[in-house]
Amino acid sequence: MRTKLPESFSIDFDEYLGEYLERPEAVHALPSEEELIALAHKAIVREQLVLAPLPEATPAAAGDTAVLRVSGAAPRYNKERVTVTLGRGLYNRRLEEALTGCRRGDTLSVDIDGGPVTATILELRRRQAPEPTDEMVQALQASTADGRQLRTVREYEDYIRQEKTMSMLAEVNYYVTSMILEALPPMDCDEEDIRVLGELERDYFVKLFLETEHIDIREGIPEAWKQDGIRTLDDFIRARRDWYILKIKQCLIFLDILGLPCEGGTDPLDHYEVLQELQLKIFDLIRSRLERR
Amino acid sequence: MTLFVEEKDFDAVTREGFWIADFMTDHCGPCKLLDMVLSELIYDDPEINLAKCDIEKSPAYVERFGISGTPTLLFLLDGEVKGRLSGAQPREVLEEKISQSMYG
Repeated sequence: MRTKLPESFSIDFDEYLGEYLERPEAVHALPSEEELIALAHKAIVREQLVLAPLPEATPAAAGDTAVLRVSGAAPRYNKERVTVTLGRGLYNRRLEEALTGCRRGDTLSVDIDGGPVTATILELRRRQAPEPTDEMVQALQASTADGRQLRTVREYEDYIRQEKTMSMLAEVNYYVTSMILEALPPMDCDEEDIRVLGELERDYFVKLFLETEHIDIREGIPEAWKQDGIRTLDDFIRARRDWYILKIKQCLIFLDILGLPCEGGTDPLDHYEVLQELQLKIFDLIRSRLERR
Repeated sequence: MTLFVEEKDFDAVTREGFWIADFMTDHCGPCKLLDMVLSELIYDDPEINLAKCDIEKSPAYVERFGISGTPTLLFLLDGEVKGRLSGAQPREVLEEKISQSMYG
């Protein structure tokens, strides 16, 4: 590839990552194996959940569902019946905490926004969730991104582990790469590089649609692509110019971070999937940095 | 409760209680990410019901609810639409919308 990063520009990946991690919404750690398994099991049994009534003598615990009669000044807290999961904080955290430990029929008052709110527990129910089974997984009719049907609990756990982890790594990568792109001085991309990327994408889409949809998009493009005057595959490739420029910059940034040369299999002009392959290497780097922290 | 719902059954299914209608397609990546978040929510808040609405199997949804992309979520209380979100939003954003839609 002829395009190069400006010589004056250097990338300190750890500095950008550190800056990202200072944000309140930042992903600081990947989920543990236990959290991933729990997430998979919650997804598998979600159609089998039952809310069973609690006996009168059993006190409410966090996670129980309470049907309340509430009276207070604000409309939100003045209802004949309102259903609340205790301890989740979606209704009012203070009231939910006060109700935990109470029994059906109990009444209490708490101060909310400077006024009293009185709540009476009309009903209490507790979630009953079965153990996940392969049959439940099959009933979900879930499939992987490449269309493979998931048939066992183990396969579903692997799927969630992969999807959840990759989505979190992708989120970190997106923000860190955006910060680097923002810091990148204005630079020109070589016109021949842009043209070749367009040709690579043209070949990729033609092959993809022939194989998966049995459509030759050289004869006519999908309806969903027809917008802003785009009628042919040539139009579509021309309209993607900004994306090819971004792809060149992203590849050069990733190569710089990874210390790899832009040649052969790592040159964006070599094959269509270079950016994706480099991105996976960056994901590994992010994973190792997060684990080290 | 989680149900796959066709457009012709939508009103009857969502008439009572709190429902999140998830307008999705089978091959949409962000839909799968959002589905993971929704699974956790439904498990932790079992009084929330989830209607999975595949807009390819029931294209009538698109015009009826003005769905311009997937995933799109509608939040319904006793059949009335109280809120709407687009894209694979994080759990915190969904919970805020649920809190507003469910309790006013």
